[in-house]
Amino acid sequence: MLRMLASIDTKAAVGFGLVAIVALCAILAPWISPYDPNAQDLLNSVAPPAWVSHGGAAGHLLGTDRLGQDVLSRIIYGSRVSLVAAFAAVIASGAIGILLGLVAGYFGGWVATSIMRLVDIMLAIPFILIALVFMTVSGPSLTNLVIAFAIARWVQFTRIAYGLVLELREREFISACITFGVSKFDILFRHILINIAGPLLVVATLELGFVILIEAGLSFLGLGTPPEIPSWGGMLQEGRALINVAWWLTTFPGIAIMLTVVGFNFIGDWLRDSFDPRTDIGRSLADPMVGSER
Amino acid sequence: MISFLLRRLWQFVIVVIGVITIVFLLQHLSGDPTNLLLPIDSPAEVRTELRHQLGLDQPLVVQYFKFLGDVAQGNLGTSYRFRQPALELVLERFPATLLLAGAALLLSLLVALPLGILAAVYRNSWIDTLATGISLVGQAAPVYWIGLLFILLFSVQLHWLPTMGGGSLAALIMPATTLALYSIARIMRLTRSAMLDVLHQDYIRMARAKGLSEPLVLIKHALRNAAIPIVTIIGLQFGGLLGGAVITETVFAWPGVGRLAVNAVSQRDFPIVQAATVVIAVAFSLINLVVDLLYAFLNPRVRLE
Repeated sequence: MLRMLASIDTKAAVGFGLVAIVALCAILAPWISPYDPNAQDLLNSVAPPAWVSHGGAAGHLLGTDRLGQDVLSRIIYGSRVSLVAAFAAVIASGAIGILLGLVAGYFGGWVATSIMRLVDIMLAIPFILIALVFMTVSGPSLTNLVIAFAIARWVQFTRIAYGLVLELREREFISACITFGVSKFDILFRHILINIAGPLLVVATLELGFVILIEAGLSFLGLGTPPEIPSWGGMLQEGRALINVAWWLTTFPGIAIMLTVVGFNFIGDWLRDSFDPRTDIGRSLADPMVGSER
Repeated sequence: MISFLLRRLWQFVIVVIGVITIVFLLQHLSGDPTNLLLPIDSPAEVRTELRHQLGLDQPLVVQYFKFLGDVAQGNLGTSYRFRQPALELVLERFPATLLLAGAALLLSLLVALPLGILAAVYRNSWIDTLATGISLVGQAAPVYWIGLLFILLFSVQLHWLPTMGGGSLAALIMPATTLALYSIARIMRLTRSAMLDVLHQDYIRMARAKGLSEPLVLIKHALRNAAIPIVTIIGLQFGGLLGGAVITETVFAWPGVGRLAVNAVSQRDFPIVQAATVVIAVAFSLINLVVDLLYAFLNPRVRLE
């Protein structure tokens, strides 16, 4: 652990910094945001940022939207939706995916064949379409969004976990466990899971960035969170309608999304490099996002 | 080769049936489909009557096989809004989506392959830095946002390109570039690392020692050996582009399957969403099949495994 901390480079530090800023915004939103994100001020609607020389609205650092709501405050509050959705989705899909990967890798045979065939099938449907189908039937909400991610994204964890378990299963210490009569449950969760936790953490980190990107995309399409909850994707959707008159409505939420995703990607890259890329584990992680789409 | 072909075709069939099954399950596990058709406050008798009409009161297994039979006959339901077969509507718009994804793929290859090769050959030079920068932005920036920025710059400010619609080459430029950005990032990154791996091999040193010209060494000896992972990711990217087109089409009002599906979601027109999913997933599997066969052609060892 100490060795890993010592290996933090500039890129990783930038990643941690960006994620820390977003996390602080989410936690401290009520105290640091200059306005109530839903407070309307129709006299000041679609006002450019304060520092723009022509008609900038004093007191609104990043301008206001159609209802005169402060863009900066909405971006600060919007970080909550992004982070909550990302962590909930990754925990849910990770739990399902890792469990199935462990089971498939350890038991092999028809169990593995059926699970991995299901993975192939899921990978054949672009994620966004699974989300569309699911959201059409169950209606747009944050909970349904998380469920949609759980249904679709577990495959990313299963693929990696399966490969790692296959490799570990042949190692001496696992054979020793079997010889000594350690229960299957203990072998799976106390011996195998712990040894593959690192690489799975890399997948989880990269997935966090991915979920943030796609959650915003779905909100942009009007399929994510309802409009009264400020979210970055929802802001972009509104910005699109006013793109001819208000550039700030599109520019700033997009920057927020991009920087957050860059933050998670940098941390993920650093974690990946921390596991020796020459080992099989490192190699199987070399491109964990292959097959994912946006 | 024949047995490989048959095995791969069989897998394709399984995946297609699987996709149809998942669409069926998603439809039935996530609530009562009559909610889509009736107002929330409609009386229970009306609801029961509709359930009976649609066959929803039959056991799930019976419904499933009926659904499979319908799909096999090309029947994916009738659009609630257009009152036309959903599959017909989707297939009508499919060429537009294919054109957009194809243009984006072509663009990605034209940009990513040379840039990836140059970044590997001139490692740590400004080209490498540029490539890293592009791949950073391409992988982290939301496509729809980049699309909006393009509109802001090229349509609103400069008036160079039309904001939306299909039909002309000019209208294709912005959506295709937007959609391509992510693939450019991925293909370039992979080309760079695959080339770096290969460039250190002895046979490259040998080729140079023989006095071959540098372009010949790079293209004939290095790129051909680096091609396998690159071909794989190109296939995967094309599938990704079909999915990514859903959002890009909405941004630019491109008249394809994606926009049709997104509009159908807001109108709760389920048969359209269902048909769009099946068509795109089948197209994606078909592309994977082609890539795998190509792969086997490039690397004879794969056929024997």
